[in-house]
Amino acid sequence: MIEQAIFLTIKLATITTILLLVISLPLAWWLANTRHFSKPFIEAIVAIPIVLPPTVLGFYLLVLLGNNGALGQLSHYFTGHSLAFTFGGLVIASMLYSLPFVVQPLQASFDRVDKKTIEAAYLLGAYPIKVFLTIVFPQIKRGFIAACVLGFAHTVGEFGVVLMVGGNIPGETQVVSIALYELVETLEYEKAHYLSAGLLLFSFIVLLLVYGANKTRSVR
Amino acid sequence: MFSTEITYKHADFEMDVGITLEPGKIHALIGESGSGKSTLLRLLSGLLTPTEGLINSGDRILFDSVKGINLVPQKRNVGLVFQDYALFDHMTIFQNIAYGVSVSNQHYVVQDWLEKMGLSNKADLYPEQLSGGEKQRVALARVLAASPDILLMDEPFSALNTQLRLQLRRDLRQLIRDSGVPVLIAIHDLEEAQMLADQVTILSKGKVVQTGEVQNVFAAPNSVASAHALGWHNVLKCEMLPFRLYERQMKKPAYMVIPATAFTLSEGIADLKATVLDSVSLQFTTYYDVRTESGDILQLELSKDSPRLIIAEQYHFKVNESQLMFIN
Repeated sequence: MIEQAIFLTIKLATITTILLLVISLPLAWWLANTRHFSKPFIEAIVAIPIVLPPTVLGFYLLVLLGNNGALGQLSHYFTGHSLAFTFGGLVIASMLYSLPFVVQPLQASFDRVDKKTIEAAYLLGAYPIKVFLTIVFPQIKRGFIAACVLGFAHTVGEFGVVLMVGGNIPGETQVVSIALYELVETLEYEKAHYLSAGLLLFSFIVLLLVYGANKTRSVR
Repeated sequence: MFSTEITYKHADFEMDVGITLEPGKIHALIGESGSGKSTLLRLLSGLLTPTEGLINSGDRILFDSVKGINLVPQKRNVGLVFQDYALFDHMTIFQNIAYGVSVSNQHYVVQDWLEKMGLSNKADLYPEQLSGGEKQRVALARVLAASPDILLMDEPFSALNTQLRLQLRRDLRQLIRDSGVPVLIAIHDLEEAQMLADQVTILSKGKVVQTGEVQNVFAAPNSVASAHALGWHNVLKCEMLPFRLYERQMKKPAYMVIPATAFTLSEGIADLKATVLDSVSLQFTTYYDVRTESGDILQLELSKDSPRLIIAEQYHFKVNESQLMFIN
């Protein structure tokens, strides 16, 4: 049960982080550079999961992804079943829940990018993709790493949203935090200890790697 | 030959600029802060789009509002040296200079520019490890290594000390002569503009108020705006001054530009009576701010040998008519 939950958690966090990066990179770039009147609204929407109780977000997502929800019906139309209590539903829920933890570090990094260096690169003949890879990305590397780690770790650590949207189906939606809850409920404290200590160690190692990487870079 | 005739709706005013640049010549763009100098450089390089007009670089059309041509910056082959250099801090000096050079002859071209700029031993360093003057050289080398058809520079010496400016000014003139590239430099230091440039254009609120050879423009401003942009403080309506000073002019001029050095203290007949407002003493001269009887504020420069003037006292001055400039 535990191995299955760990594998599912890593799979969920990896897919969520990758998809979040695909969405968040252009969104954060736009937020860092726009003067459009809608910017504060978009920023507020992105940040909602930080302040909203996870159960509230989970409840609305359950409604949205369920049989009567818009996304649930859309999924039913294409796949024959809704998204509630499925791995796909968990991915969508995790993406929304972890969105601010990926967008905000990226936006802060994009804010600090020296726009003149981008213009200089254009004038030296470089097109946008080369400019992003050779000029922008090196300047946002720390923010990018922070976004990856925070997005991944926050997905690993989620509980309320996952429970509401995914329930507790082993192999399908039972992630580590839910498995831990079940172990405590069934008074299997020894296993619960191992799992908790494992999560604690995982979190520490990830953070150590991030801080270590940042320190190496700041030396130059 | 690079020529442009464009308009652009600036936040504060409507820009309307026509400029022609000649190969191997340095053209200075001067004007007060906010007159549109940097905006013009951005318009020419393609970082901003003009409202209307035409930009030609030799036979190539970079922008033509009538034909709907607007080349992206990447295709213009226009080099721009930014005021703060905009070096790529995460790249070595070699990589910075190589950025705009095609891979096939990159090594040779970059080595050549490193040598020309005296940076051969700095190739593997990063920009943060260089002095201000060295950064400036890297920025210039990076742009010139890409073989631009025209070079634009935005206040290139503003962050450098006097000694470095002298050296770089000399080097730049030589480089431009050798390369034959037309150069447009936005510059606020008038003395520097005179020493560096062959031609000059004065911008005021986005419009060209005067253009021509440097010596001609500086010696004969054609308007009050031009005189102010050239740093002449004392621009007075002629009727405020005695007829004697402009009687030799064919036609009565509207304004008179009086250099600060044209005044001498007079005991007897005076061209001007003025009250001293303030004074600043330097090693060999003293500058005075004075108010004339008509209310104009003038700046005077008297040698240290002249008697010291007392603030709030009124004095009589004579004006040396050989130094005067007239605006019709």
